Amino acid sequence: MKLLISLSFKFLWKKSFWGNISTILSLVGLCLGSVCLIVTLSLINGYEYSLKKSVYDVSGHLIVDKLGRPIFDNQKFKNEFSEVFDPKDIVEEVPFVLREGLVAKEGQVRGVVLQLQAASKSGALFSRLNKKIIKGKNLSTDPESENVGILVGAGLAKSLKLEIGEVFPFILPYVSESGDISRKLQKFELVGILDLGQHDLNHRFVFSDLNPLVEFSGFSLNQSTGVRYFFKDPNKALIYQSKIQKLKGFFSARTWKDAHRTLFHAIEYEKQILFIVLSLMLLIASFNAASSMFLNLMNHTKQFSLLKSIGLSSFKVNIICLIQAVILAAVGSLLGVVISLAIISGLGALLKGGYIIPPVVYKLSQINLVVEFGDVFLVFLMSVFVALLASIGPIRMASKIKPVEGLKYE
Amino acid sequence: MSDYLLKAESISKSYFSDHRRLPVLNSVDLTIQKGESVVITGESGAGKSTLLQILGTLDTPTEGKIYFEDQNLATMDDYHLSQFRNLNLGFVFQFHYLLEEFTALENILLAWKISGQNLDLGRQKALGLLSEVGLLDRAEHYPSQMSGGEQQRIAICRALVMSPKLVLADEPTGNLDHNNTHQVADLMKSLVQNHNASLIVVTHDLQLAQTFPKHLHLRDGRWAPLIS
Ligand SMILES: Nc1ncnc2c1ncn2[C@@H]1O[C@H](COP(=O)(O)OP(=O)(O)OP(=O)(O)O)[C@@H](O)[C@H]1O
Ligand SMILES: [Mg+2]
Repeated sequence: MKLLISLSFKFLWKKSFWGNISTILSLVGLCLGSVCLIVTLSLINGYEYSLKKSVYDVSGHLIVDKLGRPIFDNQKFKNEFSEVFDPKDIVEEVPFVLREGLVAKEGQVRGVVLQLQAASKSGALFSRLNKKIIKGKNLSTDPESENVGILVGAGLAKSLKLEIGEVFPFILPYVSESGDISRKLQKFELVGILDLGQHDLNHRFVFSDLNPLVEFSGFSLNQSTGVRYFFKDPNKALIYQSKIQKLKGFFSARTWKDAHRTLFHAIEYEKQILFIVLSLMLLIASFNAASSMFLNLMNHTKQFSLLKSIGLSSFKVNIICLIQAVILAAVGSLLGVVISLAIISGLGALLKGGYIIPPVVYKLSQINLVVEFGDVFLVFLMSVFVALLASIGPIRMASKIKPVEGLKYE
Repeated sequence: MSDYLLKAESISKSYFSDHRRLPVLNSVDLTIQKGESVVITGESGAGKSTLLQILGTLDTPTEGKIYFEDQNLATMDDYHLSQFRNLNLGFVFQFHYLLEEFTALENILLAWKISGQNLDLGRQKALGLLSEVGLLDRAEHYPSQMSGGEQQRIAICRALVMSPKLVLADEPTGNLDHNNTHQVADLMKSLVQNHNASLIVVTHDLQLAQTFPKHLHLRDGRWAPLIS
């Protein structure tokens, strides 16, 4: 066996660069195939991951509210759901109030969603927004300040040219019991500008504290339009969703998946299709490997003939070819994985700067590359498998070399 | 137990190309006794190499049978034939066919390694052979660092390392100058004798052929009297 291995290596690798060129090229081919697959998959994963994260951070993993009856009592809700949720799963539960209204500045008006949380509990949601503040600071519960503070998305701030410290009005439409429509007005001071990760969130969402706005919003401190849940495992959201849907009553439960159902589906399909297309590339690369192995074999017909004449059986010649194929496949694929990881870390830095893909196209303000080791392993296995598949031809040819052929004429 | 080492009975060989038959050997008989040295001569294209390769099981005859110590070689499969060649035959070719990737010693040891026997023993044997051909100091040299004559002497060591019963040499001196020819040929003959092996040499060097006790001549695929 030691002899077979040393023969495999010595026939595969020459001392001169040009002697190895076909081996090198087929290695590069295999390598590129894996690189394309791994980098593309990690881009898609990264997109999915960024999208999920931007959805999580703002909406939570699960939102529970009441169909057609936007107002409910926090304590009553808690009692009703005490049996539904396992406290161990929950990281945070945040009751919130949503009101739609208008922000106006210099004759321009934008429709926005105002999200309110009671300050005592606001730590939860707003601390999640900490990292998303790109200008100014987070809302503080500073009772000294005269104006009510507000956080707005970067898109809105840009389109209305809002500056930190600026005071602007928020108009809340209001329907009385008699059906008359009137409006309420509240002045806010811009405290911080957020990058919420998604284009439409950045244009539509503003955040403030419920405490000073009880009268303005029409909600008391223990009332809310819904509750957001953050779980240790985001996938738990799906389980609780189906649990809640089975309950009687008017509760509705939406998860991060519902928020962009078609988009998440599309990503899944996209991933599968790209995987298939790029696997074809690997297949093509494997033809390359096969041709280099054929070439290598032809260049060594004489040597194999001689070895057969001194007693090497056809079976052992096959094993030599197989070892060579395994070496090619393993080295090519491993190189592919290493280079992919290098490219990904380099590309990751470029993407962070927002080059290459304009984020708005994909509704995200930043795309990360996420390496899933399951994918990498799968690609590695596939590439090895495909390269071995390609070696079947050369191996069969090798065993058919007749000793006399290589020895006849010089 | 047979009294002969190798017996070939009415060996014929034809090549087929473009639906035409090209006869090369025509019912050739040959018996080699144990320890016997035989030289085969003939014009170019007479079929000498073809015959030698058939005797060495590197090629198969179209017709005829070959017995090696009573064993019919036609009945053996690839695995057993390989083993048979490994243990019983040694080859020396015109173009020495040393593997360039291996040193002289490694080249000599190839057959030994294939056989899977104890390597220390093999190394001793190989070094012994190297000193017999006077190239002990070249053991670690690569073929490209040696002259044609030296390479051929290494090839002879390689053929003998397994102590084969029969050594087959096809124009072993065909590539060497006059001096080297006789040196290599004498060396081969004495080594084969020392190791109690039989020897079949193919050559068209008639002068060399005269130094052999038994001389056969091939013409148009048959044995023919030597007309000089
Ligand atoms: N594969 C083949 N197909 C067709 N003809 C072949 C083949 N191999 C050998 N021959 C023919 O068989 C004949 C005998 O060849 P062989 O090599 O045995 O001659 P030789 O006596 O060794 O000649 P030389 O002294 O030149 O080496 C030649 O005419 C050759 O052309
Ligand atoms: Mg010949």
